[in-house]
This record gives sequence, structure tokens and C-alpha cells, in this order.
Amino acid sequence: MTLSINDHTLITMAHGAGGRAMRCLIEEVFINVFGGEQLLRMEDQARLDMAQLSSLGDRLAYTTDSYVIDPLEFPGGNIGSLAVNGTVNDLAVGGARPLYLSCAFIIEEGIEVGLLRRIVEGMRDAALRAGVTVVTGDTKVVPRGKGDKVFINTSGIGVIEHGVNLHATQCQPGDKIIVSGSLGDHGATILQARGDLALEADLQSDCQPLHGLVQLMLAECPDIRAMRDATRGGIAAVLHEFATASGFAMRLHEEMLPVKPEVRGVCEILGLDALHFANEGRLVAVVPAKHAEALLRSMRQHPAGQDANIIGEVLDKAVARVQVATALGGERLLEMPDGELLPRIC
Amino acid sequence: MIDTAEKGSEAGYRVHVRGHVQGVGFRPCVWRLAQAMGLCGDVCNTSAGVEIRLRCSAGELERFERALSRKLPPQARIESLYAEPVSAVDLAGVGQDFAIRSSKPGEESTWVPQDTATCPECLAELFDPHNRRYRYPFTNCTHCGPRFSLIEALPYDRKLTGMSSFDLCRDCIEEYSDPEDRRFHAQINACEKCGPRLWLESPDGTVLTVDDPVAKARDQLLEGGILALKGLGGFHLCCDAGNEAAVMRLRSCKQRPAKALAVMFPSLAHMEEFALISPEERRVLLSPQAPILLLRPRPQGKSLASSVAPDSARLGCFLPYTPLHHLLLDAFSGPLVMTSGNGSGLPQVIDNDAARQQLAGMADLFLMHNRPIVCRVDDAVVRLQRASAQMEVLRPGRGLAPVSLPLPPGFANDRKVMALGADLKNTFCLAVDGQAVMSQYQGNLQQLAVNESALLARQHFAELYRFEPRLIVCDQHPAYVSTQMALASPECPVLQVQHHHAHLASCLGQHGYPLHGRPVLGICLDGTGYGDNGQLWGGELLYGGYAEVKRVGCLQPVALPGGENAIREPWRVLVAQLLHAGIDPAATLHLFPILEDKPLVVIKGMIDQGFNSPLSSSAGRLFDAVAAALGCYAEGISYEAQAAVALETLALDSSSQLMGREYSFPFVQGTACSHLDVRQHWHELIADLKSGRSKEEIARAFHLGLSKGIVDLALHVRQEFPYSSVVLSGGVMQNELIVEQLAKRFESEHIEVLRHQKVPCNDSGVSLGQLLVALAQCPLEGGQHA
Ligand SMILES: [Fe+3]
Ligand SMILES: [Mg+2]
Ligand SMILES: [Zn+2]
Ligand SMILES: [Zn+2]
Repeated sequence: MTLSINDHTLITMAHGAGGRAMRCLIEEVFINVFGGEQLLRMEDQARLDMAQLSSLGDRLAYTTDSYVIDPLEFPGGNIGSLAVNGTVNDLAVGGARPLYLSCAFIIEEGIEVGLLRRIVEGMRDAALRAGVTVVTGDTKVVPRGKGDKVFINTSGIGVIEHGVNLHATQCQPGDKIIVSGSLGDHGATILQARGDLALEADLQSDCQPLHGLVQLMLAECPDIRAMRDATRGGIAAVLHEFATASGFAMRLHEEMLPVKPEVRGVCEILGLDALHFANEGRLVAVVPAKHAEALLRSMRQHPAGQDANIIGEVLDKAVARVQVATALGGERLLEMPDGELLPRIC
Repeated sequence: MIDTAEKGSEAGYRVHVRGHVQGVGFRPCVWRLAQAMGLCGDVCNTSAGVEIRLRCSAGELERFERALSRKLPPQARIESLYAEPVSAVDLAGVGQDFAIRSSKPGEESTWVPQDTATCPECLAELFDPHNRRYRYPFTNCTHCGPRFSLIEALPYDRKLTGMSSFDLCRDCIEEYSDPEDRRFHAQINACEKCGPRLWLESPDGTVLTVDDPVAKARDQLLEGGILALKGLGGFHLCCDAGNEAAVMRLRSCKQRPAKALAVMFPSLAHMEEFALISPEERRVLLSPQAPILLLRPRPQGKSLASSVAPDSARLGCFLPYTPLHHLLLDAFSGPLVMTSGNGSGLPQVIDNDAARQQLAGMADLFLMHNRPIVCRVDDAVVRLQRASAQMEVLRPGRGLAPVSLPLPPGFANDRKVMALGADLKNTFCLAVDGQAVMSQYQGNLQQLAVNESALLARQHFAELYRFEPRLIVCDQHPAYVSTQMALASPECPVLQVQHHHAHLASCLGQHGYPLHGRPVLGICLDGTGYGDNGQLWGGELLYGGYAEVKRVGCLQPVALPGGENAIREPWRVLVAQLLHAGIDPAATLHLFPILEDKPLVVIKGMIDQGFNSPLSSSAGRLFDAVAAALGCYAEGISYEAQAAVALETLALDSSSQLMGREYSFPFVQGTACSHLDVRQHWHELIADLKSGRSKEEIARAFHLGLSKGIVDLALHVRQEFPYSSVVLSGGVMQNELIVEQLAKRFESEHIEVLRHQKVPCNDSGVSLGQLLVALAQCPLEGGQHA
């Protein structure tokens, strides 16, 4: 058995057995790609300097997420960049500056090392872009059929500056709802990339870090009430969370929703709603109405906020629901994303 | 109807009358009879109806009862009358004359009187220059005028109506107090001096000072303008029905591109120039309910602007039913399109300020008044069933609502149950004092504003009937707004009823079919409704009754690629049906050019993978697919069932009448449920298209074939599931050709056919069915469903 590894090597159970094969994989793929002194030390834990952390703020933000996606690679990213940006964004929308990530791989026996390398490179590039360091990691290999190619878990640590307090409970009637960019790009891209529906559209995932945009927004408007990244369940899920937490109804205006024509086309043909589609680089913020326009202007200066728009408002109605004013007139309730929606028309 | 208990030689009698006996001039009528016969006693309203005390002999009582049944006021209906002999003690307080006693508190009836079209006497006064109410737009009497739409609370008494802020003048008080007068105890009596007044406003809210607002409104209509008119149960938008440009403008303002518009004619004679009217239809048009009636256009008759009813073979026609409508139509002296005044997706406007806001961009002129509309009521829509000449309600509205039906035999009548109905064409229904009371049409609850208005209507009914539900009933569809609301309310237990079971029970209930009657076979042809196990149903044969049904047959389920989009865009179901029938849609582009630019590969992929392509046995979708195949609205529909309506119109065309061709719909025996095979007819249809047969003939062959197939299947299941009555229900039964074909074929097999009449076959009827299923399933107070 050879210990050297190249891109055509297939992962075997030995690569997860803790022996030399595993060490070879880790050195060749992970450490080589990631670099960084913490990883190079190869201790069982990352050691983080507390003085440095506390100089940046007064609270730690700590989050974790697992990434499972089919296909692993798609226009605009792969599971690796997704695993970094997803966790970075979960930190960012809490107002935190993201600093450190852990990453754990569960790899199915039989995938090519080349694919794994591309994924790790995707992580590295995303981490670089987001200014975070992968400081600790883990790898497991499971037998063929016991996993689905690659699963990744990342955890992240960030620091929240003194005075930043974002809470969905703070939404007030009259506040404006802002979204940072076009909706549903990621969800539509994944559906197309799967290839089984023969969809033809020029699509790209919105997978990107949002911490820069968030910092800019907080600088422009310190009293932003709440912020969430709209991932699984789309902005529909986020707005339902806002409504439930604040106890006020949220209203969106159909004609203000930024949806790219290609995404609109995919939604139309499949009979799905872009408001339910996952995004991986979009946030929804609730802001006091008086700051909304100025905030919007500065968001649009940032690359991650070019297509930002005010899409609705918090209503003076003490009921936890989300409603959409339709282009034709009238309003409908926006469903909580909940699997397939069976037709309700008789 | 009149049943008298044993007659003794006691001091007199107490007569209990139940039925439509309040707010209809019943007590004055009793007073006049008693006066004429010289009887002493009194009359008063009670919670059960009316109670009459008479000091008289058995013979006098008998004469009184006979006279009463002969002289009933036009709106009164006696459901039961029972006279009990009483002693002198029970007649305490009866003097030497006959008196109308006011009702004791807590004894008010729960009967809500319905709105009634202007009666002939009031109409004569309206146009009599010597009458003091000459051209007064709000004239009414005990026999006519607003009721339900104006009542805030019961008992029906002026101070609890929208007229409470108007004080009667001396003349009006005199009429009100004079038992000989037609306006004796007319709660909403009014005249020029003391009653509501009419004015004109421009869209910016400026009141126009004109001598005759009606004449000015007429001028605007003659110029092709659009008038917002405050009617009885809501605002109307109206325009000249003969002016194509005006009708098109109204359509674009209302964002209602094609759905048929109702037309009000100045008189029957006018209407007859445009439409065929049978004697029975004439009676419906002239009835106190004065509903919108669907009529056949008169061949070679005058025609309206072509965009009044572009898809439909029927015209919705009605006659003026308020003095204001009479004045306007008299002035205009031609047909007017009369459609509900509201913004798209909103309920009909009832409030002056809301009208100014919502209708400003639509109307050129506002004909307003200051009598409030308390309760929103849309115009009712009905048709006459050809075979029986029975009136069939398609939309329960003004004049016909609330619909009140006695609970069928076997139902306990003390349950406080509220059924929320279906989300679309919503009505709701209560069980009150042995009656099922169904609300007026509310609309689509998935429109938030409609949902809120329905919520208010439910509260209004709860107050009117002093009703606090102990059980809420709703549909099984988890995504129905009504279901979610029911399940979100923690106070009350909820029971969910399957949609088509409710359709079936609704029809049984309106026929008074007994709770423990023999099982029937329900033919539920519908759009889509949530079935058992999360399936989408809509072409079902259900066997059973109120308490439970078994699904014994259905149309073969076919995919709906794109979910609700497949309902809005019939070409999708055409593709799904073709694929299901083993036909490659790509090979049929010469027959179905609509499919040329469609993503057929994606749709096929969606169906193959079950991606947002739920299977449905819906009959409505099969109609959509065939309509799409014939080029009717394949691209998309702008209102519910538009494609199917156009298909029916083709099939009803006289050019197809003589063809007896029927497509094949063989059935397939299943273990639990048999299927109607919906594949074969596509091959026949395609062969017919290739051989150049007309669309009319193809549409007819489809209608005839499908009804034959359904009846064959029904007769087949009869071997295992015996029945002697079938119920025809579901929205597809609005299709005249289908329902008549089914009825004819079953009747020729000597099977009794139960069709909808008082309660709609469409989703407006679902609430009654839900109520009855719930009552049948949990007969005990409180129910078992916590
Ligand atoms: Fe239905
Ligand atoms: Mg996350
Ligand atoms: Zn009258
Ligand atoms: Zn008066």
C-alpha cells in the first residue's frame, strides 16, 4: 500500500484509521492547503489568546453548523466555501467579528482525493476572504454507503463589540425590513446543478461572507433591531422568526422583492416561491424607518449589498404572521416553509 | 302544516308559531285578523317565534287559523303552529281587545330576517308623483327593504339597526303606530323628511350640488362613465352594458379581465330582448330575493357588449331590488353592468370612506348615501335546473342569506358548533336551535382582507345568535388559512372534516336526509381538495353518509406539475395527462401548438421525479386539460374554472347538440377503490382532432363520455356497495351538461338523484357539510375531540 497521495487516489477506510495513511492525508490535503500556525502545531486543541479577544469586544459569539449538500460543487462555490461562509455569516448577523473556525469532515469511502482537495481549497479561499482562521479540525472516514460523499461541520468563534445588541424581539411597528441582495440565487442554483430537472438558466450561488457588510451597516446605523442570514427556508423562515419573536406582523411588498429574472423563471416553472429558497450570502435586517434610506444607500456601496432593497415593514398588528402585498392587489399570508405545499385552490 | 292540539272548552288558547315570523309583518297581520274577527287576546315575539293568546272557542280558533294561513304576509313562512288550550289564569292581562305586546327581554327570536326587494306597493309609491315618497330612494315597508344587511343585533328593532341614528318624523311615527298601515311596526320606516339622503361625489370627495343626483349619474353612464353606487349590501361599480369601451375600462380598473359580469335590466321586458326567460325564471327574477339569475342569451336577440361574458354560455341577469336601483335603471332605461365595488383581492366595500379610498381610481362618480351598511352581503347568484325547474343557489348572498335549514331528522339540536367552511368561496355555518344557519358568501380566505372580513362576520353571527361555539369544524387541508386559524385558537376543540365528505353531507343535509338513513353514493366532482393520507382528491365516489364515508371509486390520479401553477396554467395538466396516456407531448405540437414554447423536458422530469408534482384525482383538472387541448385558456386562467367554463360553452353550442359521440372512460376494478381510466379518451380525442372534427363536437364527446364512464363505475360499485340514491356534489356540478347527463343516466337506472338547490354544490356549500359531519360524528355535547 502506497502512502503517497495524488488527486486520483480514492479515499479508503485506512485514511480514517489514525495511522500513517491518515497522517498523510491530513498533511497533504488539509495542512498543506490551510497552513496556519495553529494547525501546524498539530496539537489536540487550538489555543486562543484571551487578551486579544477581549480587546475586540465584550462578548464571544460561538456557533456551529453542519453542511450537507448535493451536489458538492456548484456554480459559485462548493461545500467547503459554504461551510465557511455559513458559519461566518451566523456569527456576523449577531454583530460579531468572526475570528476562528473549527472544521470536521466526515468522508465517505471511495471519493477522490482531488475532490476533497478542491473542497478544502474552497474552504481556504473563503476563510481568507472572510478573514477567519481554521484553527482546529477533525477527519473521519465512513464505509461506502454509510455517508453521502462529504459532510462538514464547522464551528466559529467571533467577538461582539461593546454596545452592539441585535435581537429579533426588538422589532417595532413601523420599522423597515431590508434584504441585502437578490433572493433565491443559491436555492435555484442547487436545483439546477443537480441536473435531474434539465433546467436551463444562467445561475450562480450567492455564497459569500457578510461580516464586512454587517460591520458597515452597524457603523451606519447602530440601532438596527435585528439581523438574520436567510439560509434554509429562505427569507420566509427568517420573517416568521422575526414575527414570532417580536409578536408583530411583518409585511412584504411583492414588487419590491429583488429576484433575478433567471431565478424567477426557475420558480415559475417549478411552481415554487423564491421567498422559500435558500440563500448563502443574504441577510435580512429590521431597522428603524428613519434610518432605512441612508442605510440602504451605504449597503449598496458594499459588494455584498449591491442589490439591497427595502422590502417591507413591521406592522402595528400584534399577531405573529407574515403577509405579502401582491402586485395585483390584496395581501396573502406567507406560508412557513414546510416541505411541499399542496395546492389549496379548489 | 297547521296542527291543533285537542280542543277543550277552556277559556282560550295559546298558539305557538315557529318559522319566518319576525321582521316580516307577522304580528300586524295577526292583529288585523283578530280585529276583523272581534277576538280578544295578544301577540308577541318569543325566542321560538311568535306566541298568540286568544280568548275564544274552539270553532273561533279554527277559523282564525284558517284565515291566518290564507292571509300570511309575503315574507312570512310558518314552519309549525301548535295551539294549546289554556285556563283563564293563563290569559291574565288579556283585556277587551287585541294587543301587540312587546317581547320580553331574553325571549327574542334567533331568526334573522333576510333583505327583501322593493315590494310592488312601495314601487308604485316611488313613481307616484302624488305620494309623499315620490322618488324617495330609501322607501320600504314591513314587506320589503333591508334587513340582514342593516341589523346590528336582535331582536329586530330600529334601535339595533343602522337606522338608529335617524329619528322618525310625525308622519312616519303615525304610519309606524297604525295597525292598519303597511308600515305598522316597520322598523326601518323612513321618508324624505326624516330618513337617509342621497348625494353625488366626484372621485376627489367633493360633494356635487345637483338637483337630481340620479339624473346626473345617468348622464355619466350614458357618456360611458363608471359609477360607484352604494347599494344594499355593498358598493357596486356600474357602467353601460352596451358600451364595449366602458365595460373594458371597468374590467381593467377592477383587474378582472374575463370573468362574467352581472347585468341589471330596467325591466323584464328589457331583459327579454337579450335573454330567454321561462315562466319559472320570471318568477325567480321577480321574487323578493331578486337574485342574479343565469340565463341563456336569446338567439338573434339584442346583444350586450361582447366583453360582458366572453367565456360563458349564460348571462347573469337581475332586476332592480332597491328604490335607488329602480330610480337609476328607470332613468338609464337600458342594461347596466353591476359588479361588486372593491379593489382586486379585497372584499366588497361597504363603508363610504373605504369607497372613496379604494374606488377613486375606478369610478368617475360616486352615488352615495348616509344609511350605513352594517353587514356586507354580495348579490346572490342562482340558476334554474332545467329538468325540475328548481332554483339552484350558486352563491348565497343578498336575499338568500343567512340560509337557514332545519337539521335533518336524527340530529340532536342542542350542539353549539361552528363550521368554518372551505378557504375558497367561503361561507361558515352554525348549529342554532335545531337549525343549520349558513352565512352569506365571504370569498377567498387566502386573501388577507377577505379573511379579516370573514372573521368579523363570524363575530357578528356569534353576537346575533348569542352563540359561543363549543366545537370548531374545519377542512383537513393543513395549509388552508381556515384550518390554521382553527388549530391556532386554544379555546375550542377542533374537528377536521374531509373536503368531499363535506360536499356530500352538504347535499344530504339540504335534502333533509335523515341521520340514520341508508348509505348513499356521493359523486363528488370537484377541483382539488385534501383527501385522506395527504392525497389530492377531486373526482371521488364516496359511499356512506354523514358520519362516515368510504372511498369506493375515483378518477385515475394524474400529476399536477408545479402544484398550484398547474391549476393556473392548464397546459401543464395537458402535458401531464398526455404523458399519463402514453403520448409524447413533443410529438403532438401540430395538434397542440400551445406546447411549442413550453419546457416539456423539465415538466416531464418534474413528473418522473415527483418534484412538486402531486398526484390528483381531480375532475376539474381533467376538464382543464381537455380545455387546454382545444385551445381554451391553455396558457393561463384569470379566474377559477375559466378553461372549464369555456369547454362547457363549446359543448353546449348548438352545433354539437346532435352528435351522440362519447369518448371511452372504462373503469378498472381495484381492491379497495376502483378507478376510472382517463387515458383512452386522449387517443380518441387526438384522432378526432386529426380528422378535423370540430372543437364543439369534441367537447361534447368528452362531457358525454365522462358522465357515462362515471355512471358505469357507479353501477359497478353498486354490486358491492348497495345504494338507491346518489348525491351529485362538488364544484364541477356547476357544469350544466355534466350534471344533467349524470342525473339523466342515474334516473334511467331508477336511482334517486339528490342535487344541490338551496346550498351550493361548489365550495360555498362545504360549511354546511362540515357542520353535519361533525354533529354526526360527535353527537354528545363537548364532543370527544379535545
Ligand atoms: Fe370543493
Ligand atoms: Mg446556519
Ligand atoms: Zn314595501
Ligand atoms: Zn318620515
